[in-house]
Amino acid sequence: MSGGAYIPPNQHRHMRACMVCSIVRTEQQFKQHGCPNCDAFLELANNSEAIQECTSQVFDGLITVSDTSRSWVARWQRLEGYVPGVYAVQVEGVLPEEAIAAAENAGVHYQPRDGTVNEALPTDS
Amino acid sequence: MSGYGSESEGEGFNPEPEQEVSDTEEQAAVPTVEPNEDEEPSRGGDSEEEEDDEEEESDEEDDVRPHKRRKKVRRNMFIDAEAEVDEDDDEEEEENDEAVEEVHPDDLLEPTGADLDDRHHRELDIQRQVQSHKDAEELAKEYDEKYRRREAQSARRAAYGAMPNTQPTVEDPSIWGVKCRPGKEREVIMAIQKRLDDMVRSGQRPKLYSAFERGGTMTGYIYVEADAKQDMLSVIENIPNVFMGQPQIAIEVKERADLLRKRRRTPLEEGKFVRMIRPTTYKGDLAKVVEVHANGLDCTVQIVPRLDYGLNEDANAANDNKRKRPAFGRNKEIPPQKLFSETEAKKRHMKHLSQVGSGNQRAFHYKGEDYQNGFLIKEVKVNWVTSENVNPRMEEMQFFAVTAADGTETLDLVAVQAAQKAAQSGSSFVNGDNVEIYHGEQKGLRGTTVTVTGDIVTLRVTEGELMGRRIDAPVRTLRKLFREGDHVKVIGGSRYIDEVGLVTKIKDDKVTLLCDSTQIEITVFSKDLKRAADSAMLGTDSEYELFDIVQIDAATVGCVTKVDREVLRVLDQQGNLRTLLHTQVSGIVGKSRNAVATDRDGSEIRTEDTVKEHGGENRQGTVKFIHRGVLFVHNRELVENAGIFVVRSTNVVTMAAKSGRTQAAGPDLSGMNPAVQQQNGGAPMAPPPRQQFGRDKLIGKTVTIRKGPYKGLLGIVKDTMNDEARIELHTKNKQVSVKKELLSVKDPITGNSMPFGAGSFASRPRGGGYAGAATPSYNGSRTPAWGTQSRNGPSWGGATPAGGGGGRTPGWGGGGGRTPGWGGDGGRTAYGDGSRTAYGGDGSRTAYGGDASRTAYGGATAYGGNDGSGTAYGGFNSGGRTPAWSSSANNNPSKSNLSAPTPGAYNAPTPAGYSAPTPGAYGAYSAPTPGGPPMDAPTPGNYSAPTPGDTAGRYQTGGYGAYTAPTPAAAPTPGAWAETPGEDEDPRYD
Repeated sequence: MSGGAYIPPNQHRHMRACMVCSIVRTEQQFKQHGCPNCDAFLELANNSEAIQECTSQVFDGLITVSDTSRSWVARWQRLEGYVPGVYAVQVEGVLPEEAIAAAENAGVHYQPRDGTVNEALPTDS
Repeated sequence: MSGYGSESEGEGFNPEPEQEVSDTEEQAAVPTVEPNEDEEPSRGGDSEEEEDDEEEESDEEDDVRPHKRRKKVRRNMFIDAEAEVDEDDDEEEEENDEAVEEVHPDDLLEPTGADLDDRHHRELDIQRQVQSHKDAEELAKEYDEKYRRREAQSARRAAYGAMPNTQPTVEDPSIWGVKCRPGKEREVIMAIQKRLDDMVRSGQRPKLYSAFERGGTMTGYIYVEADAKQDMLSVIENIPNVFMGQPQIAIEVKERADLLRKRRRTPLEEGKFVRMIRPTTYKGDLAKVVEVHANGLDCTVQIVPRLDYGLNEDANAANDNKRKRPAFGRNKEIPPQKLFSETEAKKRHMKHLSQVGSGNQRAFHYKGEDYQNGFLIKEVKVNWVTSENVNPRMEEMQFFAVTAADGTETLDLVAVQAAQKAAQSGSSFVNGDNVEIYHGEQKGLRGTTVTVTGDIVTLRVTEGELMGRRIDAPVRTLRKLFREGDHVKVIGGSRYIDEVGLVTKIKDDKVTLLCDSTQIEITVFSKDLKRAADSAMLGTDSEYELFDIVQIDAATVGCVTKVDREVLRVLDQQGNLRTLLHTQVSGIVGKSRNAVATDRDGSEIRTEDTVKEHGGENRQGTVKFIHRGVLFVHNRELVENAGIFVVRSTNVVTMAAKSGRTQAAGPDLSGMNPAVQQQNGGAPMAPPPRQQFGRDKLIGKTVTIRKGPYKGLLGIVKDTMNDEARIELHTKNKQVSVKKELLSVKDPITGNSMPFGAGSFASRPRGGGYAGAATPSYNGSRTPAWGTQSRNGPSWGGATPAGGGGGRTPGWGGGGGRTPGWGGDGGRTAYGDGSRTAYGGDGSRTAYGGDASRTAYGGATAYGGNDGSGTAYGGFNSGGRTPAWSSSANNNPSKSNLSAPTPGAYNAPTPAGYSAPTPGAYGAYSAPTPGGPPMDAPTPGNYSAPTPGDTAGRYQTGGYGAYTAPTPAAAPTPGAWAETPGEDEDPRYD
């Protein structure tokens, strides 16, 4: 993380997005540092299997956020409280049950970011 | 950030029951928006600015001021209570974790006054606990955990949707759309990120809050969020691929949310058809989903492989591991779709091939990919395929047809349905259709459609309680309502399109109907049906008709024996029945009226003739088409292949010719004879060929053999028969039989080729006697011809030999085997040539060019006429006909002489001849002639027979070089000229 969230173009094909917070990093970075927002419960660092399961190579739309509280985009994307960096607009993939449970236990309500939930409406459950 | 991460690693995450409680409390509190204002209390005063920001954001709907005030009050109060405890924590967090600063966990707590009290109590408890049981470190740790937990809660709250995604307001930063190079959006975003990183590192606070791209949907734009345009511009300036030249577009508030709209990916289902996107080799190909992996990211698809099995491999390529990248912009040729073939793979890539399954499970592993039953089974990412707009075409679906146990191939209707589901829109419904809702809560409702808007159909209920009501229903829950016994027509969706039939069974939206045309039961979707009053009209849209001759590939043609909607049945020239898609047929072959074949008796067969197989089944029929000795014969009494069968023309006997042509008279080759064709300007029909009589002039001649095992040997012709000559070799006392055309006649003394002999034809030798005469004709004739003619050129080449014979030709021609041609020749030559040449007819023609060349000959001949005036004429003809010559040549030299002269003689006198001298003609001649004069000069001397021969020889060799050579020959001409009335023309020649 010391070098910031910049990912050079030659690494773009290794980019993955966390299915929970949608942060985009390379597989290598996930492995080294885990997910800066979700590692408390996803425990991605040094866990290739978890990285495979909980992050996705299939995502769409890159966002770079420098100020997650001021930015409306960040709010809209439910990125408030997350670290500044690069995020994805939409992340495909299904988070494994265990990961969802872990997230719930950690008090994080997992809401898929793959467009299956209409974000314009509040969900009631 | 890393600090944060490591910390969490070290400490682990350990929820405590006590906090669980707070959790629930909070959940209860969540629905109210108010509490947001209570967040700030725990915050250090340094973050005031941020607080303000947050405040603005969170209470958009409320008035800002009062809150602030209230908050401040509360905070002060709160800080009093909690400050002691939280001190270290705050510091720690501020040091380590920006995130914590930005959304402080406490932000989300303390919803109500009651709650607040509660919390206070609890916190007091903790405090006591701490004081009594824990040292400071532990305390710090605990609080750290606590705050982390709260942070998570905040995230959870956001994710939870408790705060409905806040529509942007004017209070929010603005967003601008900035043009960038299409396809580089991600790079641009990353470049911006880099710049932001740098700014943060150097201690600046970026004024640009966020930037994003929607590559797939909004290509060529990135969007930047900032308070002021200048803030944004200062950051994105000079980033590569950003087009700063074009003005940035401010995005209106209400449109902003749309920019971030997520597109729901249509979920993949097993058995569904999709189109490939990613591996470029398979781009656009139809694939069938075999399996969707649990993570929703990968799926296994079945594709028809595109393999070349190494056929296009560069065998000499260095065997290093470097992948060669194909040159930019040049895409490699993609092999066609074809099911995996074990044998093909074995040919070159045995080492890459291994069989995986056993028994009838045809599974192979080839070059790192798996193949099953001929299909490539490939695991791909879901974004490598698309399930939108799949619209599988019939020929693609063919591969995926399921072969049933009885060998009949049927398409998996369910799969087709799945594939077409995406494409299904309201368009298949028309106003007034009777429909039924067959799926969902309103199942069973029936009505008539009123309007169709996109995928929503409005229907008026016609039965039941809701009668008369209008209901909207999505298309996919509707089926068209038919009843058994309805007469329906298939209007789309399957290969049965346009089939008409009677509904026999209805299940859900699948309707089985009995086709009128084929009496086969087919099952289609009701949406693809419409009620029909008309009867079946099949294949009307096909561009092919029954009995059309179609080109299958470059070497194969076939006759259409059945036209189906999707396929043609074609009987090809080998007699094989093929089933081809319309697209596999390259086109209709035009029927050639002139196609001719010969039957086993040598009779000519044309289309529409009735022929009978000789032997075999003795089938009989009329010839539909002739293709290279293969006949497509039609007999309406035969059942198979619509009565078409294929036979070789040599296996049939002509029964009756269409127009009552005489049979067995041999093929009419007159059409091939250029002479005949050229002269068909009213020249009298040639007399029938003369029989050759008298002794063959070749006998007794000294000849050399030009070809074959005896090549180069000298000999004397002892006897001739047909086209062969018995030759007694000089070298050894032996007689051999050699084709006459392989002989060159030599002067026994000088060894020079003799004119006639010089010609490639044995026949010429006879003319040889006349050679002298011929020669002149040669020169004369050619020169002009050459000069003038362009098109004759070729004929010349041909003619040249003839020319050599030119003199002879006539004589020769006379001899021409092709009698008809001959007659023509003689006749024409004489007349035409004679007349022209002699009288300047040549001249006139010369002008024409093509003729001129010949004329020239004629002219020559005429003069040569002295020698054998006839010959000269012949020369003419031959010039034109040269080809004819070559073939017939050997026959009747003598005749030619006879015949030739006569006409020539006549011709000369002919008035036409006189007229010929027309001044214009002269002029014309004169031009080409120039070569002529020299010719004249030499001529006299050259008179001798051999000379001409030489000339001839040259002709053959040099072709035109002949010109010069002929000169000697020309010599005679002058003489001739002098005598001939055509004298005037002489100059022309010259």
